[in-house]
Amino acid sequence: MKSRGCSGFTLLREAERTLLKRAREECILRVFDCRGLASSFAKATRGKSEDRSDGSARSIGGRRIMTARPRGFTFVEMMLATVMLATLSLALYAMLANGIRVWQRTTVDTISEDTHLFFERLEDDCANLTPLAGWQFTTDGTSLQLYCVSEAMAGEGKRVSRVEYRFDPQQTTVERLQRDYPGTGRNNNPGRVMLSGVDSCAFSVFYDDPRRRLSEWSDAWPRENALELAALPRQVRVVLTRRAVAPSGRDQTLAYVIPLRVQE
Amino acid sequence: MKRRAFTMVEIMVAVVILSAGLVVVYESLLKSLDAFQTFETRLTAQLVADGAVANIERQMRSPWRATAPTQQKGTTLADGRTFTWQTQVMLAQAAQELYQVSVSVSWPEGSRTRSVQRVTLLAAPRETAEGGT
Repeated sequence: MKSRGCSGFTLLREAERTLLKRAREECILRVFDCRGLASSFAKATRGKSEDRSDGSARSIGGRRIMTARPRGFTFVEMMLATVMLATLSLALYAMLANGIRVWQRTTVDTISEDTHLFFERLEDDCANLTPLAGWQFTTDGTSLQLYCVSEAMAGEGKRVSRVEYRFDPQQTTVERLQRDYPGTGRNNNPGRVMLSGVDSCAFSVFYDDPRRRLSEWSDAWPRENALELAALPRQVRVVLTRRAVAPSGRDQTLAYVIPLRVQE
Repeated sequence: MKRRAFTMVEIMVAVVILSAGLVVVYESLLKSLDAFQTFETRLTAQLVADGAVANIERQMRSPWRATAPTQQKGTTLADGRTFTWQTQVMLAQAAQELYQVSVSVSWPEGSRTRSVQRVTLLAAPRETAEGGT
């Protein structure tokens, strides 16, 4: 610790003189170092008036000065840092908020994969109806039963199966039940939940009514005058609403129409 | 042994470099999300196109139809989005009553309008409902 009581100026002059004298005897690199020492000494005694006069000298002898006298940030530095921090965090916030919005729009608000799989499965079953499917094809609005050629539950190739799609409003699920024909002991399998979080799932069929000479949608099949109608309705429509997976409250109703074709 | 701290300028430069890198990564993430959504909407548009074809099929296969529909327009609300569809029916082969159905489904996305085209053949059966399978 240098004494601060005596005259700083004379101390400085003295120190500088001795240091320069020693420097003349030593190499150039040392001169540089010593000058740094000298000027830092000057700063220590004189205060902060020529703080930024020579950055190189400060950086070399900086450590000594720090131990001698701890320096805080200046007001301007603090202001600068605050403004920069605020700008950066604002930009960061805007970026993140935008990202979350895009994420919401792209992943939460869109049809989830299982909806597509459900439609695909239903279309598959409807495309593989058995020739006499018209006699067993039934729907009551919330469930749909059909006989089709499907992958056997036991995994032994294709089988004629009775397939039922059932919407359960309590569980908010849509299940697919499959019973292979002819029945075996392994047929008592539970339904497979295809969709969950379903608000409503309505099946309807489009058919031709020769008595009234018109074609229309009906949510029940067979009709009471089924024997006089074509055995099979022409199309099946499923209207699905899944609001549970959309926290943004967007209406996620989706209708899918499947033509019915009999496998020859 | 000299221990030196980072200077403020060094930290500032580091922050700038880091944020530049972050912005690049983040932008690409957003771009990929956007692309994902574009194709997700395309899938929905395919469902709408299916629906439009089914609509034509309903009209053409009806035993009580007067004439084959030629041009139709409409909108479908699917997945909270409004899709505009346009169908056109042309006779492809008169002998077998084969029709060519063209469907165009379009929807706004940002400032642009995207669309999906579909062309399919449809055979209108000549038998009436009584003899239909």
